[in-house]
Amino acid sequence: MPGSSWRKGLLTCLASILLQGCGAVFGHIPPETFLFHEVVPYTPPGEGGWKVAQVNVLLGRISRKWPQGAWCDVEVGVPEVNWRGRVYDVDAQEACAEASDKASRFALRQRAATVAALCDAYRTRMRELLKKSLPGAEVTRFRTPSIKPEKFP
Amino acid sequence: MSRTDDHASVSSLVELVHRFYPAGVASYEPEYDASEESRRREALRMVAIQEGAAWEELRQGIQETLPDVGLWELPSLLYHPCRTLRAYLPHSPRGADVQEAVVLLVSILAPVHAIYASHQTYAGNRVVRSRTWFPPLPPRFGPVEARLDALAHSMLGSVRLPNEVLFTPVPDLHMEHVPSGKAQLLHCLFTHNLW
Repeated sequence: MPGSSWRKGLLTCLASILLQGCGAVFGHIPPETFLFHEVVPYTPPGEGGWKVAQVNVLLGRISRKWPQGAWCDVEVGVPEVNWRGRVYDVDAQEACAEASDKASRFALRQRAATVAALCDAYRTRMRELLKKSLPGAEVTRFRTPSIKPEKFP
Repeated sequence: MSRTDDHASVSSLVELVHRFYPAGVASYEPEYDASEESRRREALRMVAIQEGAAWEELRQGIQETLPDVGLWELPSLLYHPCRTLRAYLPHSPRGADVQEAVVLLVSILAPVHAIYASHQTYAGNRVVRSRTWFPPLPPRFGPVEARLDALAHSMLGSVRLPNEVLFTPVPDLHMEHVPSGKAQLLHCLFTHNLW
């Protein structure tokens, strides 16, 4: 019905405004922000190697209590080669960027009580999202030493 | 297959993991990593990273015993208190669309191991179907499962934990990516990253 359709649209619009008010996201993270560094070399045939990327991500405004936004550290670790084949940096970067964008929106909707809890929700969601594109990936706080983290924005 | 002995009993393992994880502290709080329990766990992890001779012998033993199985060791010690070896069944060569493996997890916190089965179906570079099984594993995984268990027991002296021990709740301990109150011995002794 036309009447219910415009009401639905209005509700969607209001919901969107409310969500934006509760937690804004600072655009799309460029894939190259996830700059991978070799941690364990690939030594065929048995070892798949390992590489990690570290990024400080500004998720956005959680609420009026934290108008300055919340910085979250995220480290993603993936094999150089998995049982399917080579994990190219460019593919891993695209997967990470897409997952990070979605995870940040998800986390901001959780109304976390603290920045630490928000960042935890962001990383956990990101790991879930990476399961299909990068099976076996590890998503954690910064834990690999001697890597210069990237920053977004 | 479901051997248990004194050091692998539920009560002793629950007590043991409380020495390695701080009770009642969320994993993202600064107190978590700073706790005595986490420092104890990290110290063991660092030692294990340096000492891999027995594990390397086990890997060689598995490869010699199961020459048709493809082995992939993940560097899980970088993150978790366990070593991880994925043994791909002969019908799952590198690059295959359908990949099936028996996964061996060996804890560094106690002389115990866990074994589960894993399946992934790929379309391009994406996994379109993924599942895991804990015992009973489907019969096609049986021969590799039995060999991995026997070799881990004979070469490392470790004991395989049955499901009822692995899935024992430890609700006061917190692990990254495990919902609050849902931690099990499986997560504490090995990993949450099961795929």
